[in-house]
Amino acid sequence: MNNKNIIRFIFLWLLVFLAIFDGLAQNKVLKGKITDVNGNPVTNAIISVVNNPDEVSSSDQDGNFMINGQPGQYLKITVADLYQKTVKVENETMAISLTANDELISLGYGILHPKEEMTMAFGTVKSNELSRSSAVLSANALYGKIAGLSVLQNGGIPGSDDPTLLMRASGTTRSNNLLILVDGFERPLSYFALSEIESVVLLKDAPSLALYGLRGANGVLLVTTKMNNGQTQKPQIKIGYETGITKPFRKPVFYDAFGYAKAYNEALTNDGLPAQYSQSDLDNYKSGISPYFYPNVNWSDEAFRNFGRRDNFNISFSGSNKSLKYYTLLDYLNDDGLLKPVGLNDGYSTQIKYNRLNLRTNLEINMTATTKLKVRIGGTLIDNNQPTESASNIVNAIYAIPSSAFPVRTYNGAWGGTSTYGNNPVALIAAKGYSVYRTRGVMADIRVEQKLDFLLKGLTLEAAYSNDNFINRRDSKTQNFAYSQIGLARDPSTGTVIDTVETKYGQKTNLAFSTGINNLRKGSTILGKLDYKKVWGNNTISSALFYQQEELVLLGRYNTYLHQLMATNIHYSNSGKYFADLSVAYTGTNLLTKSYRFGFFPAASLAWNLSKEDWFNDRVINNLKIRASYGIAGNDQVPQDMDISLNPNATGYYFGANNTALGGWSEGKLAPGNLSFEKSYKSSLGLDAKLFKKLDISLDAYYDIRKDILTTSIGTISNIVGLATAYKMGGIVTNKGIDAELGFRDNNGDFGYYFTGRFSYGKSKIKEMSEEYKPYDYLKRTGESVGQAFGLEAVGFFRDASDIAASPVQQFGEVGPGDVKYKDQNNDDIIDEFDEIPLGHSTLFPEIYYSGSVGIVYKGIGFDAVFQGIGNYSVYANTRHVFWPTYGNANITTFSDNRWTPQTVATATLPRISTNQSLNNYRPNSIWIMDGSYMKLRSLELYYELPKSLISRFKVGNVRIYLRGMDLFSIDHIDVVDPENIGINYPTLASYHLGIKLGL
Amino acid sequence: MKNIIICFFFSGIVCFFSSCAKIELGGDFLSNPPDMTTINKDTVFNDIKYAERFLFGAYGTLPWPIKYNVSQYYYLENLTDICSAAKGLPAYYNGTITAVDENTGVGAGKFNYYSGAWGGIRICNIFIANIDKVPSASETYKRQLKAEARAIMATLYCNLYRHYGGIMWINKDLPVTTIGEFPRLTARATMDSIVALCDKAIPDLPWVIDDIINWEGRFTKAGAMGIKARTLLFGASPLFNSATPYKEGEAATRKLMWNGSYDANLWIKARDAAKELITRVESEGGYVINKSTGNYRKDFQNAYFTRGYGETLISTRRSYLANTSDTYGIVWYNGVVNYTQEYVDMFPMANGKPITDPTSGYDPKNPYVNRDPRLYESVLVNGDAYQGRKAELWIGGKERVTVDDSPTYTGYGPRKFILDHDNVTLGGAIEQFPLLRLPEIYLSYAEAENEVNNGPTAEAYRCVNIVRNRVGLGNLPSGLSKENFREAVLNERALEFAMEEVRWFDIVRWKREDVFKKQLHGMRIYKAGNVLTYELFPLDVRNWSINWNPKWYLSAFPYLEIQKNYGLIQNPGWEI
Repeated sequence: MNNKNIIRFIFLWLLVFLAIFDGLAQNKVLKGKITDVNGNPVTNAIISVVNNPDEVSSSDQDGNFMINGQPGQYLKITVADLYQKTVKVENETMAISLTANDELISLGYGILHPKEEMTMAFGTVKSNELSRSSAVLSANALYGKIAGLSVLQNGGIPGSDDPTLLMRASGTTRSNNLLILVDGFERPLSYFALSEIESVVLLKDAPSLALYGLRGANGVLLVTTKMNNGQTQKPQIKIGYETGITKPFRKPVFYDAFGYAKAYNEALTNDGLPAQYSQSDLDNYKSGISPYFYPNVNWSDEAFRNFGRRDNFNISFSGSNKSLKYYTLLDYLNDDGLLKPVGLNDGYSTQIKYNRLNLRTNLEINMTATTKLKVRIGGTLIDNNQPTESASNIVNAIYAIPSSAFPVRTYNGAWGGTSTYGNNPVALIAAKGYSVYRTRGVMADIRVEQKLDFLLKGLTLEAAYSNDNFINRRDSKTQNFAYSQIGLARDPSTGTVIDTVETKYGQKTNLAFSTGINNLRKGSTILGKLDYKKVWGNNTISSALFYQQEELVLLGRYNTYLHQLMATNIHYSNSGKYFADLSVAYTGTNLLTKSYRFGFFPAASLAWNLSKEDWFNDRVINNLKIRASYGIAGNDQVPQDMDISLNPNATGYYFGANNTALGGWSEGKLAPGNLSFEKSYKSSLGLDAKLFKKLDISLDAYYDIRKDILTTSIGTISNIVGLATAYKMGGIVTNKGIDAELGFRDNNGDFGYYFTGRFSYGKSKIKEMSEEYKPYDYLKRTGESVGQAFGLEAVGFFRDASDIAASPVQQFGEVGPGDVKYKDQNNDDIIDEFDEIPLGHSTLFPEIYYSGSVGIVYKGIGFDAVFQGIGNYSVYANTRHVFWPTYGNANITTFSDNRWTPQTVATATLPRISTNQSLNNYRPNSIWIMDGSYMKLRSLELYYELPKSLISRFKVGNVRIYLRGMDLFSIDHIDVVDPENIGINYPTLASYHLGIKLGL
Repeated sequence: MKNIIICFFFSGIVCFFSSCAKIELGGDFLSNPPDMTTINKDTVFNDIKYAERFLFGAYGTLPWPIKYNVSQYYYLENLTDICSAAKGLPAYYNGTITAVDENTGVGAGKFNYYSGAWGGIRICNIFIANIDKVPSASETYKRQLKAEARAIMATLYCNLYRHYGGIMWINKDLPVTTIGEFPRLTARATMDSIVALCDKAIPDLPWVIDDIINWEGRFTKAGAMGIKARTLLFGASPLFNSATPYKEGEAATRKLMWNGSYDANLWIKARDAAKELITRVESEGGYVINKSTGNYRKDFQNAYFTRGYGETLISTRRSYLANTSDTYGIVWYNGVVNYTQEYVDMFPMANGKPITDPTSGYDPKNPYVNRDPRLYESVLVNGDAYQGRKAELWIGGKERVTVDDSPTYTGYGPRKFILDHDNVTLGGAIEQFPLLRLPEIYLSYAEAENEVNNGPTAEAYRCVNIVRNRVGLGNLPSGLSKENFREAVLNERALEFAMEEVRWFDIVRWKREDVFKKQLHGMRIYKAGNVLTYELFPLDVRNWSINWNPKWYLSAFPYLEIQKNYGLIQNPGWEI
């Protein structure tokens, strides 16, 4: 960005406001009282006279204030960063009550607008609702909490289960990562304890996202850490303690030894091969008479404990006085995973143990009457102990090894194993050593606000700087283990057992130390900002102009991300009825070539509060606001090495008598040329309403067109070019849908209840993706949603040879009775890749995401429940052992119960099993592309808030005791495993917690 | 006072900022971080060392057939009558391969295999266009480098020409964003273009590499002349040089896969190209065919295996030292190089007489004694010295534990290129692939001379006999008819060039439908006591032998390439 441009930008912005003048008149003493939503007095609210910065006052313990002013002027009431209300002075005495509509909503960059005046689509959730989760990682507290935010679970390893966060359905075929900002700066949410988060806001439409320029198109999630809200002078101490147990949410049920051996025989018979297990073998497996030679091991039980444990303790201190606000938090969390066995190793543990300590100090200092300093410093210390073998390898072993394969230990005490199965899961956990991953992180930012009324009334200068540093280091001690197989030796003539034969494998080694840096992260941001607020007549304008530059450096090559941004947001309101926003950003990124790295992102929005109009009858509809917006945001998440056009590391050539190749230099992927960022043209219509004074409704409809999505040009550019084809900006995706939110709340003395429902529906459509030629329309990805599943349509199973002979030839190898029979879509009598059609829905993003919460409270006793579900989502159930059994020595689960056998021809829903990988059966088809929708009970909580009368004598402010269950059940179509976790992963968890919260 | 505090405070902030990190504001902020250094054409063509390296990248695209197994057919030899793959090649052997199978992934089909070639052609084009910019190099050397680039291009195009016929001719640095119209040249124009490339390269190339220690493997005059001869022979042969196309279709109408008419002059051109090279070799030396150690087997082994031995006109490499666990060491031992009985029977007795000759001394009860030394060096036969003992190829023997043992499924094992397949002979040996050897030129010359003169001349005989004498075989019987002499030459080429990608192109260019249709056999040897019995068994029938279609002569262009609409027309029989 050119310095001249920056100056020009500032100049134009100021020019807009210099044209506006105001006059002065005689002052009187005005009196007022401020109350909050519940009618309680609001202390420490700042009252100022708009356009007269010399007049500032604050409310006392009873919410009363006095200030010099005159009727016709406007008073601005601000409660920390929480509420803001502008009131026109009608009388000399006023009763001012703050409502939910006066809540301040952040747009980032320190820009806050009262909810009532918002012209944009957003969703928000506050700490009181977030604190009803016992999740290890904060993002897992967000399921269903914000309309339009899809949270998709990823496994269950403590501390590694960060979910995928998406705004609405994906509008791009490339990266759709949200931009996550904590206190205004890009930081991983996983470094923050849930207890330190005050609020989360999702920005969803153009006027707010345009402010993020070429980083905004996928949505922005703004997270704010806690601060003392300045309500009391008295220091507040809050203590929370929670203890809980975790257990696998759902584990696949593998066949026992007898069942496996029988199934394996069945698979061999299907293949026309002799059975492997004789009747006496089967009997021995069934009776369990000889556990060393005919073992029957439930590997899941051997390797997983029934329960893991999770504890969380936190304590916070906060307070405020005229010149200082502070908030200090210490949060400690410990989660012992589910692995077994414990205590086998002296001096160290191979268990999963996740320990996290978060520290935070947030300060706000009024240095002078016009200077405010805000400092936020957070630290995180994470020690994560794990077995050296990765959890995924361990779970893979648990899944892969049949119950009948070998005993955990031979009767000699050696680890069991065979030449086929060398990965004894229990040994993988206990006998391969351990790794400790240590994360150390500091996040610090400082922000100064200086009022510049002496230059121009209403002008404020703000500067902020953040600097974050993280390191994740691994220390490992690794060893290998020996294992043995003990078989029976039989007399060749009689078949009777005469001896045992031990075969040894592997070699036990000593613990070997290794260490390494796993990740590094350094982020720093500079922000400079001018704010200008002005009121005249019925008009209010508040605007911000800012410059920001961000630097993020991660470990490794091509991992530096630089962004530069100049932007303005101008917010206008008239009479509390008409609102408008204009946002413009000019931003650049280092990821693109010089001439194409900057973009201009304008957006505008309008809102009209109909219920404030005189003609509006507000008996039923108490509040009604409609909104509309249009604008552009971008997405610059492109590969960073696109620019490389010559690769000095290409294969060389072996001339001469020398075993080193003479380096050949060759071109890499060709330079992107005019490639640029994605542009998202976003339009949105919204409606906010309150009915019967209790029912809040918010509705948003949107239509996005995403253009200039990077695609490969392989479909159009010939190989004769002689080089890997370059990217081009060939993709267009549209995305349309609705977000709806409905809230109902009622209090009746001791009895209160509420209901909240959120529903999102979004459908993407690929308009253009430079697709390779497809001879039939139904094969085309273009025109389908992003991630649409494709596969063959199964029409049943082959009955016999004559059925096979009479059917089209299936081109995926030999087929036999019980194999999947496919529909010939193009009627060419051949079943091949040309017969694949769209099946189900997208496997990447659900089209429907919904949630519902209900709660009832009576005399301090209450319960809350949160349900959340998804719909119009497909999963490709291709997990070996679970869905695809027996071939290549794979295991088998109860999922396969309903497979084809000669006896179950009429009822079978799955193909025959085989010891060979059937490429005919095991490929994307309508059997394996399954309905991935589910509805889960995300949390259920019973609580008791002790009556004040009981606890006040102990000088305790409040006490809350609760019992909470998380992820207790799911209604879905997968049954055998968690529909959110169908691969070979550490299980997702259900958990139960008992906790207490004290306020002193 | 207030102002003093503010001033103090702001200066504090400034100090804080500047101490934490280097702060760049404004226009320079987004400049590339240090890890983004890029090399571009200007850097490369500013220094002769860098420019050379760029050209070496093109050398790296030269074919190395023995190490490059293509999933559709493993090795070109597997499609001929001399070799069959025990593991089977469903797509080719059952005849179901279509243009679609050539589509996906590197290694799926010939076109993508030769996209290595397209990459090489690209490098050469860029090199030729830019090498003159290099400031600090002699004009002579630059001319030589340019000629090397042209010779590499000619070699790559020659392969494409032999697989596809007329081919898209790329002679400039193509933009990657648009492609426009890029039709195939006619077969004749393709041949002429390759020859023109060679003619342009030949004068500037050295006859031999002087600094053989360091630069053996770079292109020479002889190499470029050889490619010219190879190309002309293919173009003169009946597949293209005929009054009618081998199969009708749009490509035939446009003469993309035949010359459009028979032209006897092409045989003369082919002969003259080979003769020119032979004459020069014989007058100037530098290359030799009959270097003798007194051990015929060793001579033959040196001829194809040893770098810089004198027979190799073009050698290519992908590595330096051979390794028993190398790609071909392993893959070949997985049962893809299974020589047929038909091939073994092609080898005459050591006295030069074919085994069908009653006077040859051939003993069906002891079939592997006193044969052409090249048999033992190409095919592992029972009883031959192997890994310090005798090869055991009977069922139950060390080399063939079971009847289905895939490396020796046909009763024979691979020998050429992998020697004893152990660390004594192969491990650590210095590798090369003989992309073009002098005997091919001698045999090509004999073949063309026979065609030009409607029968073998003394000179034709002389050239065949040089090749035969090198391994101790006597001269060909004199007085052969034109057809018999041609057959003898093709036979000689089969014996000489196992796994050197010669046989496939020979049966294709002569449209040898009869060879395609042969029922191939393997041998089962049973051992009872010390008595061996030999049992011939038929190999699985290849679909094309019963369902013959001339489309097999040339390859299919990948289906998706056709769909990219730059004017590519499919070869006949492969249209979808």
